[in-house]
Amino acid sequence: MSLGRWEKESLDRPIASAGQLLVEGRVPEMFFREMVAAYGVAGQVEVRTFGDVSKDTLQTYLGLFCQKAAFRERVQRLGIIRDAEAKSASDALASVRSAIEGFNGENPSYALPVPSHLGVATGGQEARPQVSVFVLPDCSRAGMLETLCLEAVAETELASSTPVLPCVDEFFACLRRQGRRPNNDFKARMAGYLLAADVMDPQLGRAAQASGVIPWDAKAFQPLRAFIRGIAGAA
Amino acid sequence: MITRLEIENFRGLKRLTLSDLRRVNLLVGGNDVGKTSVLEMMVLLFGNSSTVSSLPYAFRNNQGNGHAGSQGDDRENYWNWLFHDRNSANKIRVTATDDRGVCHLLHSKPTSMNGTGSDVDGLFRGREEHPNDLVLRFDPSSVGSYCGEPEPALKTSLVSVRPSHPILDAELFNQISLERDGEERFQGLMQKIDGRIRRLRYAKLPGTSSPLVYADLGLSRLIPVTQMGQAFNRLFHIYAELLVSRAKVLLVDEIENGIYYDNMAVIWKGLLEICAAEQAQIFATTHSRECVMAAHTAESERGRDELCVQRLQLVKGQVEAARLVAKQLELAAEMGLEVRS
Repeated sequence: MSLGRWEKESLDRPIASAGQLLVEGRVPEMFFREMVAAYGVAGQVEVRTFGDVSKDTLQTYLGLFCQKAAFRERVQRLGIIRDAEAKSASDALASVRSAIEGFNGENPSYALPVPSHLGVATGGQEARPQVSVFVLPDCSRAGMLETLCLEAVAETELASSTPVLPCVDEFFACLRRQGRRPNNDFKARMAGYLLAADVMDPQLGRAAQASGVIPWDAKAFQPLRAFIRGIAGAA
Repeated sequence: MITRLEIENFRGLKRLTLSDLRRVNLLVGGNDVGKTSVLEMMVLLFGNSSTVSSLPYAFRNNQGNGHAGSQGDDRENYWNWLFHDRNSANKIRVTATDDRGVCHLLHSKPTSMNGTGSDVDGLFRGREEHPNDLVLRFDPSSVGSYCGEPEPALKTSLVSVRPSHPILDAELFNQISLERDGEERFQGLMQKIDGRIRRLRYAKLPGTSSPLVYADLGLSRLIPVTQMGQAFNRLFHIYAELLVSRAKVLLVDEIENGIYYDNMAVIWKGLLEICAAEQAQIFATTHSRECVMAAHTAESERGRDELCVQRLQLVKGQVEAARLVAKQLELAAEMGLEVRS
């Protein structure tokens, strides 16, 4: 088990805000930083990557992060966002719960409340920090960040006179006819969309930094938006 | 072996719990966060009258500049400050639980002042819920009544940041030499610190007043160990205390002091070995990340899970302890992460 450069940076970065959002990797970190800014809560929520999605990685990250004095002093709301991947959202929640319980077992005096429901903060206002978990795309289906982004993009495409998603889909259909299929349909379709939308770097984190590419106001993002505003204390 | 400490109202520590303690316990953290206070509390809990009475200058400086100060000086500037916020209404209460489940207690409570019929604060210790072994009496009028004569609960040795006494160290070495294979064992440990050492010898040279230990480094003459570095002498003292004094609790302040970082892992390996062999327990403070990582490396190689690293930190004005488990230390070592804050 190992963390990389980005996780080290995310651990070393000062903890200044009451809201902390942990996400699984550098690309989601870049993406959610833009999302937090787009929703006007950048001053209340800091985004950090905890590394890969394994339970051990999250548990070790929590051990290093949540025992910091600055965390103890300042953090009131901790959000954890991860992908469901091919499994159900409840499986992903169980994995996060297991990591938190593992951390609590190793560090009982720093124990975190364990969320029992997706998207819902633990405890009342007196419980500090409150902990909540959001499993992408929507706390119920299998999928990932790209699944949600594609749904948001599809909404805007409906109103567009020159939609590009049909072109992207035709491109991949053509590939399939040649017997070629991407490893991850959602990621490939999103990258195809970004290239078709003339975003030079199809990596989602970079694309999120480009103005107007990700439709932050899309209905598809509303549950996530509410979750993030909850972490900001603005819900 | 002590496995848990609960401390209330002792010096700057309002309430602090150190749990899951092991054979070697390393306290890290910023300045003035209470690391040395934990060592002092251990002296009060387990030390004898000599180590208890040395507290004003054992780990700190006083007006006696490293020796006993006047009674008034030490009372005003040290003993009274054992109470949190220098207020004896803040009752000191310490519970140390050992691996057999026995609780060792240190409590402050009123006690009668000799011959006056009135009460003053006393600090008591014992193994029961109502300990009655008087350690200290906080008598404001009677100079010299601060130290009682407690029986040592555990053989306790202190190592401060000051240089140890070379004559006493020489006598310790002399005792080691009288034990079967003692000298070889001790030399083996010291050779890991300085590979040039061929042998160590206790001697009193003509024209000198006291014996010393001399080291054969392959020079034309043996060199007095006082001429060797601070780290060498510090480790000499620590190893000698463990091997000769049979200390069961070794309290070391700023253990990294004077030690070259590259030697840390070897030193920790030696300490872990001796502590396990002698059934001793170490409580040490450090400011050094290298020291923490070296202890972790040495412990990982042994694979005995005998190291506990606790970071003391100020949170909202109170000192808290955060325990760093092996896999966190492993990751910190691998990634160069800071563990002290």
